Amino acid sequence: MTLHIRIRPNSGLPLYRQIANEVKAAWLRGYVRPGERLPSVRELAAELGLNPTTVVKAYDQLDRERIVVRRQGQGAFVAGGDEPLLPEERDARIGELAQELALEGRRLGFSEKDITDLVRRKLLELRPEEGGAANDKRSTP
Amino acid sequence: MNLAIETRSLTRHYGATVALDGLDWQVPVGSACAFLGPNGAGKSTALRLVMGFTPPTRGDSRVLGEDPWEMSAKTRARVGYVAEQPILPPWMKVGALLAFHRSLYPRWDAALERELVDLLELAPGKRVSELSKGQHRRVMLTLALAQGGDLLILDEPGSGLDVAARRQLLSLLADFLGKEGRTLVFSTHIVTDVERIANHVSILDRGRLVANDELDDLHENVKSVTLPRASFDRARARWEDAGILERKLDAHVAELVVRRFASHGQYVLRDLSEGPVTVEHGPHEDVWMGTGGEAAQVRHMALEDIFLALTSGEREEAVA
Amino acid sequence: MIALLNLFGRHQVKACLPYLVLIWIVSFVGWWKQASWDLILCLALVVLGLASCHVLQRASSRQRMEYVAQLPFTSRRAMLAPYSVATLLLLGAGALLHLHESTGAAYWEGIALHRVLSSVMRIGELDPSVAWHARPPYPLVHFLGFPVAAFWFGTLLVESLPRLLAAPGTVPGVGVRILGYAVAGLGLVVPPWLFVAGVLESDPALAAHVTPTLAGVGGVLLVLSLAIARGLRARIAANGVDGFPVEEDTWQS
Repeated sequence: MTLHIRIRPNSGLPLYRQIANEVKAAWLRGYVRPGERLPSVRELAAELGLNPTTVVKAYDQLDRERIVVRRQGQGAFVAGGDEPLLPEERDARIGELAQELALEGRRLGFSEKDITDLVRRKLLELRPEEGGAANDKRSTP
Repeated sequence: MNLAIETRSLTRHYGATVALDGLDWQVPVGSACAFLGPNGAGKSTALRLVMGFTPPTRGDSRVLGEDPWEMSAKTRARVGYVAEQPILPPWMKVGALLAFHRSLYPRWDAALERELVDLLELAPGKRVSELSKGQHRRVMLTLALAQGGDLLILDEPGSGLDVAARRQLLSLLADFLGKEGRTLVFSTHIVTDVERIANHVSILDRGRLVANDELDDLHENVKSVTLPRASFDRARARWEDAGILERKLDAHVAELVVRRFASHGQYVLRDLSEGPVTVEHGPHEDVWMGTGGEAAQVRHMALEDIFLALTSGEREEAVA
Repeated sequence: MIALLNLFGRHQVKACLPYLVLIWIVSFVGWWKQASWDLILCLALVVLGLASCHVLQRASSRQRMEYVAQLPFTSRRAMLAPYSVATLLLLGAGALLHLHESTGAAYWEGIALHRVLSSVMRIGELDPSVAWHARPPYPLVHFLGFPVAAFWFGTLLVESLPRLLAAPGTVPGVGVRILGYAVAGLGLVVPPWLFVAGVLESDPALAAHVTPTLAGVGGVLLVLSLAIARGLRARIAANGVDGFPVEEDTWQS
């Protein structure tokens, strides 16, 4: 299992969000393939020493974001990239994040250029290795 | 809501000492409840009362619906217990002890027993008196987990264990919680472990509960707030209604730890006398804009800091 | 209850077995050597006493009680069981004593013991004059036997009396421990001294007091032990594991 999840209990970000983010990052970077089976709730909870409900919450979040597909009785599978997000959902989500970034960036005193450079750097880090889910047609604006 | 443990005005005196002072505690079925408190807060006493080892001076409790002091053998078989002290009979061999327990509990999980004996490296041929404290604890844990009960009560399970052993313990507890309808209660003062496994936190201080919430709710409610001194002075009454646990004031800035700061998309300061005071908020989680345009910074607090704030009473530091 | 017997029975039988075997050996040897019942009963008494001590000791720490209390038995009954067992054993010892008396060689029986046992066990009164003046037929055996018996009564007192006197949940204080040792010491020191004084110095006046004094002391110790066992039982019934002081097991079996 190439999925390596690191969590920091005291960092302020809820644990389930951290797990969801780690899975999402792995998905974007291509460390997990579409159709690959993720560890069961019980397995992952035991491995990380976490309350299973935390893992359930993470998987629910990933399910909502269409990154993971839950199949009754079989577990959670990485989405194949063929379950599209509704366009309104996509716009709202990315718009929200952009506004937060803009506000916080300005509040902290970053210039427009700084902020766009930062975004560019982050996108670079996420540049997919071959076969990664981010490398599909939907990412072009 | 189904309660695994429920106490009402539970009180225990030891002569002149009041170990527990009117405890009203509820632990819902299915929760992993961390029972925190400084030394001498009364955690062990509360657990002893809940286990029915000793009767209360006043008040009563219900564990899985029954009075623990009079608990039926059948219900007792559903409650697993791991003491902080070594309590197993020293003259018995580990193997004999496992066999003895196997015969006592109808829901004994033999497969899990084998797994744990292996994983925790138990030596069935050794006498309990020959075990180290850590090994003794591992035997107690095996007995409690293989028992197949619905409620597991652990008294300071992490004490005396190194980091690796604590992680292993957390893993086992996470596995225990994987099954429906299981409740975990553990007392600890190692707060970092709590964040991983607990979804419910009860904090005891000097015999009384100072918090009894879902962990997420506790984080939502207890926040560190920094705002301009002038804004604080203007809205002082409202902040005090929200319950100030700690305050540090200087000429320009007020730093507070606030108890009842809950968010519902809009940040609402609970003003109990005047009703909720609604304020606009910036889109970023951390910025709260008051109606007068005052900016404040609201920060998530680590559980350890929340614990310290709740158990040391209100502190005021005036600087300058 | 059967499972309880498992804990204090089957798993304890291994520990109690030696005592039971001892009783059998003693009885057999006694029968073979045609010793008087005196000897046999005396030694059986000692063995029973040791066994009850053993049971009480095994059960007498807070740790042990906490362990038993979380097992799937009705808690209080489980906690009280060893004390019930010990009480039974002591009553058994008392019954033996009474039997001993009725054979006519009443070494142990003093009026005090006789009267108390009669009222506790509701057995009819015997003629006190018979008990009072009988001489022990095996002085040496009794010289050895009594201190041994006193020792076990004594350790019972040393172990249990402090626990009974200490407040629930506390460690027995030095004063209370000294009291335990003092009472035990009485049983150990007084009888042999009196015996020596009476027999070896052939002081008839003193000798006349040996039997009843020794019997009286033995009786008092027996009654005291019984009272302690009952007292501890009541303590636990009211306080649970807090009926025991917080301390490590004083004997490691």
